Amino acid sequence: MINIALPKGRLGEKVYKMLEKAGYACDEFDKDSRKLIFTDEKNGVQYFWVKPSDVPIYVQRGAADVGVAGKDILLEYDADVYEMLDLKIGKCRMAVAAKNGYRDDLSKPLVVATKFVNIAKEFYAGKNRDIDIIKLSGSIELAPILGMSDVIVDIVETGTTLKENDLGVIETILPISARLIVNKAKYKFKNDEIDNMVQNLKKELPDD
Amino acid sequence: MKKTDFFDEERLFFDLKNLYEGFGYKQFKMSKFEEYGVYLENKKFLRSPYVITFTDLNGKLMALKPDVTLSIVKNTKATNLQSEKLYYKESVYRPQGATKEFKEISQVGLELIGDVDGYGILEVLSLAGKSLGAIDKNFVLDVSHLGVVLGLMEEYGIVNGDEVLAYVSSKNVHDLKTYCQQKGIDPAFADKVSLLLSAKGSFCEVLAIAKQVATNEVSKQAVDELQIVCDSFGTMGYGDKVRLDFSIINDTDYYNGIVFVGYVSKSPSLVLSGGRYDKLAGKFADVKALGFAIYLNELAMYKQTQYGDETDVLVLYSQNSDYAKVLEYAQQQTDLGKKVLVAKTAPADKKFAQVVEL
Repeated sequence: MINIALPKGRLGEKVYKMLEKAGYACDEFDKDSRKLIFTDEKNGVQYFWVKPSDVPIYVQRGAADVGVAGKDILLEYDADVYEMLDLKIGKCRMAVAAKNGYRDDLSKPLVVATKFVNIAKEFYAGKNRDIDIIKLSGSIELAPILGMSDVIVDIVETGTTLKENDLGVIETILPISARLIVNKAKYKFKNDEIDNMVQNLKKELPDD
Repeated sequence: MKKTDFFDEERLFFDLKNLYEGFGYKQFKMSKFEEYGVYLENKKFLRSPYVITFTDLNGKLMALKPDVTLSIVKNTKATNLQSEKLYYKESVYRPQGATKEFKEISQVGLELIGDVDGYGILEVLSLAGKSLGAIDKNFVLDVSHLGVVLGLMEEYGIVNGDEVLAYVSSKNVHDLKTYCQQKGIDPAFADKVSLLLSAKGSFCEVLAIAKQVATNEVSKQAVDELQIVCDSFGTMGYGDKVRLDFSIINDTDYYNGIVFVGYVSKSPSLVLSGGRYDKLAGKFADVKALGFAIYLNELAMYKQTQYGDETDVLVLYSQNSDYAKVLEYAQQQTDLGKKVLVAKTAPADKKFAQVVEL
């Protein structure tokens, strides 16, 4: 039996469809149900929905053998897990954005608003840029509009929200997609089962 | 629950002590404190850079030990001719968990310092396997040699390889390929790493695959050293419990050569970690060193459940009771192997299989 932590929401549903096609369907499964755990003895899987940012925690702690999380979350939380597959879905990018017409003033620290404190810190440390971070939990775009920050570091999918608020991407930090992660200890004891799952999922990956 | 059914830290240490002393290892006791400077100079060797410090009465900045190995090699009397074989059970102090608060962590470890040859490697690996077996028969000891991956990196001219090593240790071949593309590294490098990481089979079968990949001096030497482990497999008698896994990476500033980690079936984290640290030992004396540590706090899953902690009989007595009779009754029950609580009133938060009023 493999325990799988799926991220609640659209991405999790897409991932489940991939797993279903790869032979890991769960008869009990119903995305609108209030049940938290779904089991399918025949296919040897147990699914549970968790908050996307909690997936690496469930996997690292071994409550789930495998899980699916965005690269953004894996980098931000620095989980000690195996990252076995790029699922090539949920694609977007982590980017720096600012008000259109913004010009960087190198003589003072850059004020950055973000949900992704660690990613922002590492990115600017690599550039030797002194920054002042403001951690927010949502509506990051507001910060530069109200003059609270110079720039934001956030996920950009289509760029529509930015455009509508007179903001634009000034730099891409890294491309993001969903990854299959595996608990290191569980991998040792369920080696064949997990390797089979990785191989079966590989066949279902979308083309580049 | 029978007494032998549950895990007991004291008993485990007793078994390990017998095991290590049987092979001539001596127990090393040390102070809880160490001069902070030792850790400052060797920060990268520590699992976490955070250390609890205080100033002693002479004005020296001291630290509560975050690590044991450093204290051992710092004081070693071993030479290249005369090895020291030591084991320890000590507490270390490190931030842990989501709250990042300092915790006292109990660990048992073993160090071979001095002349570490092929036999020494086998002895330490065998003791690591036996230690895991003492915790749980269902264990895995993953072994690797840093030289294989480092040799490959050297062959392909990769100098600043931290990022590459991070991809290797998380078996992340997809991002490694992208990284190589961006940095103009020959794609053959990523293909070879991918072959190493996906190799399946017994220790010797995986080693055979590594041999195809190891073409430069450093990696060839590493493969030769691993061959010693493969050859002696019959005598170690662990079957497929000892595996070769090239994703094990320890800090390359201090570690070199053989590295290994151990897992037991009930714990979601690694419970044993070890390796060869000639580079660290070389900073203090002209010696080589190999050792491992077992993290006892990772074995909580094996500890006695709440069920075993419960008291069987509650004996209630009052001022008018015959105290001698109460004691006699309690004694009878404990002689029968039951746990007894004698009290005037029943504690609100506990349940008892039997309540007796005397």
